[in-house]
Amino acid sequence: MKKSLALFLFLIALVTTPATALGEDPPQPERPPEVIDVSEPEKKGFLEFGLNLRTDLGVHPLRVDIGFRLPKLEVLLIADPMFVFDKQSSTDLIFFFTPKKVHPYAGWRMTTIGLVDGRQFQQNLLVGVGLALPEFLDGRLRGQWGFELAMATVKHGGGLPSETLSFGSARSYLDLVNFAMFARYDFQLGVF
Amino acid sequence: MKRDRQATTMALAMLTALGCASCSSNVGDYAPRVICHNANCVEPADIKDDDTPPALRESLELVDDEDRPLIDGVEIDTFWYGEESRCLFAHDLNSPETASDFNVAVDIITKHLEERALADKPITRSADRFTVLVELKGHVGVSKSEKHTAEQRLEHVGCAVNIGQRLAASASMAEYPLEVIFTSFDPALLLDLSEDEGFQILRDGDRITARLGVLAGVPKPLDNQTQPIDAFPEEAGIDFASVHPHWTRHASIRAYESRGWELGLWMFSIVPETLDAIEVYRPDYVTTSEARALTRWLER
Repeated sequence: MKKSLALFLFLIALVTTPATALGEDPPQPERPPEVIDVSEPEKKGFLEFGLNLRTDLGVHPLRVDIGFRLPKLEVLLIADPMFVFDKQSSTDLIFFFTPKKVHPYAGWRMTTIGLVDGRQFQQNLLVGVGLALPEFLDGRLRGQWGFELAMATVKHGGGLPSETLSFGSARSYLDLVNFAMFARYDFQLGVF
Repeated sequence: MKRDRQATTMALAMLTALGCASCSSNVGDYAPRVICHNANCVEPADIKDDDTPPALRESLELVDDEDRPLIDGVEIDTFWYGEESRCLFAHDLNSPETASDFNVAVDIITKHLEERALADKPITRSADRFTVLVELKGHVGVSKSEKHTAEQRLEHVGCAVNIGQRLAASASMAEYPLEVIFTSFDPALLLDLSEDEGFQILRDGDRITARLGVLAGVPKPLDNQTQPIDAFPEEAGIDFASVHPHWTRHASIRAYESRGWELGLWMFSIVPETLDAIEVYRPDYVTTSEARALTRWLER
């Protein structure tokens, strides 16, 4: 009798035990296949380098951009390799605010003018606005057109007396305040 | 990676092409005549000192270590003060009570040139003759809209001719080469001057070189002085234009040159824009308020 009861309970347990517990494959529920993202996460910080071009007088037509771009801020150093041709250089440090496609900016330009036995420095305040140009190579090559106001605030060096910008008369500042336009295309290298 | 290489190649191609296309050339042997703007070109030049006797003296005395002048000439402004019928050595009427008579400027220039010429010292930086630009201001009151009457124009012309005659007499006496260019923004003044018998004698004579020149600067409507090129008639015999490079369009400068006129650039301050304009246009004359900086830049 005890054997019969034990066999009965064993059979009950066998019927009610889940199949997984017995090492069998469970029936697959019908659900959408899982998508695994194998692409890199979107970059938010970029190193950039490229060309800064202009046609007006005052700054060499070709300079070199070296910068760093975050989603809403871009810091750009513009170097002037063409100083070798005329001993004159213009180096800019610019901060662009880039929340959208219009990029207001402010910065500083140090111009050096080669003299026969020295070098005069002219310090310029820069303000302006840039507009995004079409991008190429999946956004790796980004362009910008810009409008700039440069004010020569201080002249110094070169063995000459220092001079500062004055607004006392138009004759005092007319040559020291200048407008210009530029275009630039920079290659972007994602960092993080 | 392939796209990165493409971008790099594109950037290098742009760099090469633009670099070759945009190389600036050095000034080299180019040597324009350096003219002292408003008789005031010793740095730091304060515009309050424009067209004043002390600044004129100091500017003329600018020399290098070898006692050679830093300038090739000087610009003096003549202002016809309509209310008092006086010919002033002045840029404007900001302080007419202290403005000098035009004779003061002539005395300073002739004394300086005679002393150097008689001592056998050079009178210019590099030019073959000393140049005096005599500007005839185109208004007679505080406002630039206060224009000359016909009679005032003739009186102002007479003053300018008198300056030319006195300079010519000095050049003859001390035997130094001299050029006098009468300039103005105002076509009517230049036309009247060209018809003046005294001016014609100066121009036709061999004591000095006497010429007429147009000035151009800030255009209308920002300033009402600059006139279009066709406002200056052929019969006036103008052969020189001095323009401000920041405010004069490229086409206008080429138009002046196409009339066979010699070109001058004038400026208030030396900035890269003005220096680049000198390199681009290669003017025969550069009028500056910073003689030391300009000459040291030209000689670099």
